[in-house]
Amino acid sequence: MLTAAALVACYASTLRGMFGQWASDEDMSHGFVVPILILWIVWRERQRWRGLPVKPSLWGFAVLAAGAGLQFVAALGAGLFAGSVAFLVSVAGAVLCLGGFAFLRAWAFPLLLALFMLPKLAIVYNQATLPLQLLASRIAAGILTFAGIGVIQEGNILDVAGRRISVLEACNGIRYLLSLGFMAVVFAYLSDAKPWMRVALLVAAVPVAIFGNALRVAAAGWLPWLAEGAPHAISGAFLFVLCLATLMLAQRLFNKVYAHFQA
Amino acid sequence: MRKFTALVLFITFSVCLKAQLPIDLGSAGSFGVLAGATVTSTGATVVNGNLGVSPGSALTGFPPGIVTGGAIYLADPVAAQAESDLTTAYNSAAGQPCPGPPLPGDIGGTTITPGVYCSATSLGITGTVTLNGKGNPNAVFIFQIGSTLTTAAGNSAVVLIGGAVASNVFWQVGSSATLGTNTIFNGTILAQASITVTTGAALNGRALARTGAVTLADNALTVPAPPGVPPSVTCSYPSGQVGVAYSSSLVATGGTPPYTFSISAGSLSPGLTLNTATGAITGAPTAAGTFSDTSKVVDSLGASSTSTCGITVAPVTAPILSLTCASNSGQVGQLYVSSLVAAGGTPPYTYSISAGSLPTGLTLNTSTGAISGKPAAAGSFSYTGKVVDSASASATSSCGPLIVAPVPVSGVPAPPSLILVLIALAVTSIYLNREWLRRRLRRN
Repeated sequence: MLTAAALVACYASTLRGMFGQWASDEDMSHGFVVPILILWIVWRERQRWRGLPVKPSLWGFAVLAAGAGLQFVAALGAGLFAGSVAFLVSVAGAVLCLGGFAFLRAWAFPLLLALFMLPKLAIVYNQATLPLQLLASRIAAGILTFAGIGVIQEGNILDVAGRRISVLEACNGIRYLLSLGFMAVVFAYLSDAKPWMRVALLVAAVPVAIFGNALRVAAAGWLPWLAEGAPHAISGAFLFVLCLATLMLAQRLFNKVYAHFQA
Repeated sequence: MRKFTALVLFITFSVCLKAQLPIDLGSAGSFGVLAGATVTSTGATVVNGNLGVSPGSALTGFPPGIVTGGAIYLADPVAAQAESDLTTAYNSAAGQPCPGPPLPGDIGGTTITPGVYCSATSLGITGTVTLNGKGNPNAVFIFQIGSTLTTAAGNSAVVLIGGAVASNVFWQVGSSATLGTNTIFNGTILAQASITVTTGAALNGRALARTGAVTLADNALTVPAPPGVPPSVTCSYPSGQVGVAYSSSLVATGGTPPYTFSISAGSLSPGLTLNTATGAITGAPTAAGTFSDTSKVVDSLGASSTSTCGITVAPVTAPILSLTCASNSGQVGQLYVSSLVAAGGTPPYTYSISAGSLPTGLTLNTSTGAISGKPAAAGSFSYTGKVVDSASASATSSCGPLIVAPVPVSGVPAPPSLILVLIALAVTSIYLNREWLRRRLRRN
């Protein structure tokens, strides 16, 4: 408990920054759920890690030092993302110092899950935005054409039956991608004992999220009343659940393929 | 011998009785103003007779100048024929034998008897020149002037006495004629080039210019009646309106000008005044109604005539109804509030769309003209707005195109990731516990 309090005290400004981004950035607001879920998973796994032998490792101090160094760099101006990574590294170092490698292995999944609460890395976000915009525009145009609705795509502009729709940054699909990736890992953890399933569903979540976002753009372009207010919120949530259902089907498919090869 | 004596007596009497005949103007005689190039007027000039231009066609200053008792002919066959007849008359006047000595340079202050008079160069009139007909109403006066005719500004006048009439006075001018300010002039001017009648001059005769321009400035020109016709006055007042500038004229014919006009009974509409010298009625009526009067003209010999006249003055009307269009910019799904705006006419108004249509989702309030709502589709919409006032007057206005911009998808991102994850967790929980839930439902 003392170690946890010390970590919170040392990384107070970083944690405050993370909370601030969860509160202000709608792409990252799921960050509030991540620590709660991590604590629940740790509690859920208590029978397993309580039986582990406590063997503190001196490597923990090295990891703690690496975390402190990273935090120093972050304080010099590297930014919130570096500070947040330093916090997770320090937590891992503290686990090593107090419990040893066995505890670190037992809590590896919750610690990896914590990656979903890290702030967006601006350089990656900026690089990915335009390609994702264009991809969403292209797929949305394809969906509308497939549905028999006349559409002309010019870059990120869709002309749907005379109405010109601009697919801008906020429609790039990153929100779906982060949320669905997180849910893919959580769902795999809860529903399947096989560790590789978490990776498989995380990978599967990428195309599903991109397609789901494009479907949302196409729907808003075709039906203007879906583009605002309650219909917009409901349709957005409904499509997300549809994406999740797709992952559930994907899990069944993966299991069948796995069973086939096992047989 | 007796036969020879009779022949000598016949020839002698024939010569003695041979009177000078007036110049035959042909069709040009009906023109008060005729020019070869242009006619220009400023102010409230009144021409009683025809006005023509040929071969030119330029006419300026009519209105406010008016032509009464005739018509305007511009570069048409009537004007061309009149110009042709003018040339014949000009040559006829110039060809008359001139028996007497040349006129002095200025004939102001002299009295002249009937006959043909010559001036090899210019002729001036300063003051009054009197033409005495010696009791003969058919007495003819012909003046042959080599270059210019000029009357001095002020009180110059050509006065007719002894039965002389303006229709028998001819001024053949070798170049141009200029009547100075406020000149009172009698006779027909046949000018080779141009004629200028300056401000306030009155011409009881004709201004006929063969090749050049006739320039007028707030004058009264009256084609003189043939000898022996008594004066008469006519009035044909157009309707007026309170507060609106009005212009008309009493027209005198016959008799011996100059004339003096007056209102002998009744009255003009308040706000209007009569010019007693020219007969012009001008001003702006200040009261509505029908105003009757008896107009009177007195010629220079004291003969008079009256005519019953009337002016109808309409009241002030409401300002002209007009309609201004609403805003031409909207966006799909965004509240649009604008309005058709009527002005003038007699409120209250009723608004409508008479052609075209508003974008779907927008409605017009027919009482207030307000257009509001949320456009449902993007595009360009043109329509015709219409307003009808309580007096059933209407006005329309072509409006648009009203551009409705599309909804940018950027304004409608997905719900916050927190909401998405919470919903997904709930769905996942139900999915993973579906067997337990199913059992619970069966048990219940």
